[in-house]
Amino acid sequence: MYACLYAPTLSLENKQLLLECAQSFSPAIEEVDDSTIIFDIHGLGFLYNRIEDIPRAIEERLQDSGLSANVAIAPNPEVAVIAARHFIGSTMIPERSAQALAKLKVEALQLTPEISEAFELWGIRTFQDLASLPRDGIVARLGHKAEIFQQKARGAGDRRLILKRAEESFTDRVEFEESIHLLEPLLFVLGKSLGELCEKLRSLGLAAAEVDLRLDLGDRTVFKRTIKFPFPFDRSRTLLKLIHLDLLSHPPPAPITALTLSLIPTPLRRIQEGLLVPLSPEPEKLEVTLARIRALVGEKNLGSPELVNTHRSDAFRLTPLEIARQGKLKRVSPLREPQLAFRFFRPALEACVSIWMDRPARLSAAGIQGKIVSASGPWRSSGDWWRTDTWDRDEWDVVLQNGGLYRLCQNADRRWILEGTYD
Amino acid sequence: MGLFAQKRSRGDVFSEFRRLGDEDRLLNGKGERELLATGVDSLDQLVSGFPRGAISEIIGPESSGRTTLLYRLLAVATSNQEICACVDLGDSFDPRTASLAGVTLSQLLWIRCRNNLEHALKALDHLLHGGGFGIVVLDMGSKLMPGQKKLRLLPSSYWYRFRQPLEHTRTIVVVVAGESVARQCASLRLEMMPMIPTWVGAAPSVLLSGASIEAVSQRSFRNGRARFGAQAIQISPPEV
Repeated sequence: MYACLYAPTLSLENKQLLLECAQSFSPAIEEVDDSTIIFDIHGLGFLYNRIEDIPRAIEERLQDSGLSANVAIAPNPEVAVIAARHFIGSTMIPERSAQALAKLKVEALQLTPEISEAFELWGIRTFQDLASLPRDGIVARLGHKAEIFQQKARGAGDRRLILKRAEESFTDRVEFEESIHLLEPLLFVLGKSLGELCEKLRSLGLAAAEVDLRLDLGDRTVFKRTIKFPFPFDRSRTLLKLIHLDLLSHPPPAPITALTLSLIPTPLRRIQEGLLVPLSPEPEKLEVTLARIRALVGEKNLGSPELVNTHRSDAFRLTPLEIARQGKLKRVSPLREPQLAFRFFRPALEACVSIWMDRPARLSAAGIQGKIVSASGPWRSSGDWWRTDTWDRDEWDVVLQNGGLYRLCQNADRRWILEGTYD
Repeated sequence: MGLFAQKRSRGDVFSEFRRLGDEDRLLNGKGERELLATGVDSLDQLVSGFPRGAISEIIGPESSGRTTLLYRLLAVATSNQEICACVDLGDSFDPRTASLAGVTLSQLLWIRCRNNLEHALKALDHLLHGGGFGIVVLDMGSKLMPGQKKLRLLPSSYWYRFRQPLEHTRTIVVVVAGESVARQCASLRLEMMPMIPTWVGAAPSVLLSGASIEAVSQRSFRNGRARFGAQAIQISPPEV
């Protein structure tokens, strides 16, 4: 048996009271919409002598909360909802619910426009009219949807409740009797907390998209670290390794007195891998690899290069490497002929250049010197005049006697720099 | 006498295999390696491509076309939707020319080691053990990089260590350097000769139009030379 509470005009606060009222009778609750709640009352017969006492008890509970709502008890959820919405006060629908609903108008079923029009043409006005039609004829003429409406009109149906779950928390807090100075004991505690939280995540079919770590320090400050993942993880070992690597590169400045660990949940990835999927690292392994390298070379020295929309030489930014799944990548065919590549000297080398007939004739820089045998230029380049770091320079492609092909630049302040080499 | 005879016969077999083909097939007892062709006809005719699951070297002086060949290889791999990584010891990678050469930058992981050899080797080790990359480049080709002597003194055990996780994978490790560093651990070595730039226009108003590149293969199926041309990249003027 199911009970339905229907209160059409409710404030947000009263809606919460209505929900609490339902929760006081059953944990299996479905919120149909803002004004309708269904809950399962199987088993309440052990508490109440007669089934008729249940709607009375619900009404009393509603009155205690200062609420007014229609209450309907029915053998299935659909009938309970229809009865609560269309019968005022407390309604008890017996096992043979078709008779109880017989006089209701078919509009109560919230028909689709096409089916409503067809029923109008056929002269079907009430639940009784619809229930008496042959099932096969309705399916043949109006399809499966019309059959569902007929089942509701007959008081039949076997829908299950879509249960409302309480908000789950994936946070764990541990306070230490003595402050922790070393990373190893901290990781031991973190491992235990992560194991429990990941187990909870897995049981709900979730994974962690983000980890928030909050460390209370001995100097009464709080040290916070947030690690976001491009792919959700549910393995505690992977998460622990990522936190370990993050704490290695960002160690807390004082001993730790307590830790609060929060996992931000997200649904698990569902990917169908194919036989012909191109070679790419496993996301979990990649994230650990990147974290290891990040701890080694620093966050600013690792990433996927992205060009900036400017003609400024050596302009780029580094973005996190994200592996797009199959089908999302653009298939690019390689160029037909190889393109001459360039290697930068970072930072550019200060150069000393001798000029002959307005052209560079000899070059001398750290580790590179010689007579210039060919030179192409000057190619003027300038831009960003509205910014403080404007650039304005003449570029030369020069070949030294030893065969080296370099890009030589003279800035607006007449200084020569060797930017790099063609290789 | 017997031992000497046995050694001699093994040496003969080695030289025979070296003459006929890949030494690795004898050493590892494996069949043909899968190769990644560069799409440069003359080079593919010579070496058929870069072997997967092995270390390859591109060596030569500056301005010899090493980077041009490297970007070409990365362009081929990224166009196959493979994820590649570049461990850049000398911090010399140019994203603009790489992109114009056809490299899909969003599929490239760039690790800037700023002349720290220890970081570069550790990063390479992490990448190989992580697995799943199409090409992993160790770029040690910058002549100005301090500690050039250290590269020559790198013990062979490093390269054996790098070669081990590569086995049974499709990852290609490409080492770019001035001279051979992986030595006997490299399955393919291409030595690049100084390139010859080509110009258009009459002196003094000339424009760099490209270069002629020559590669000499060593430790490959077929030793020999391949010549190919590279176009200079002309960056179009900004749209007004």
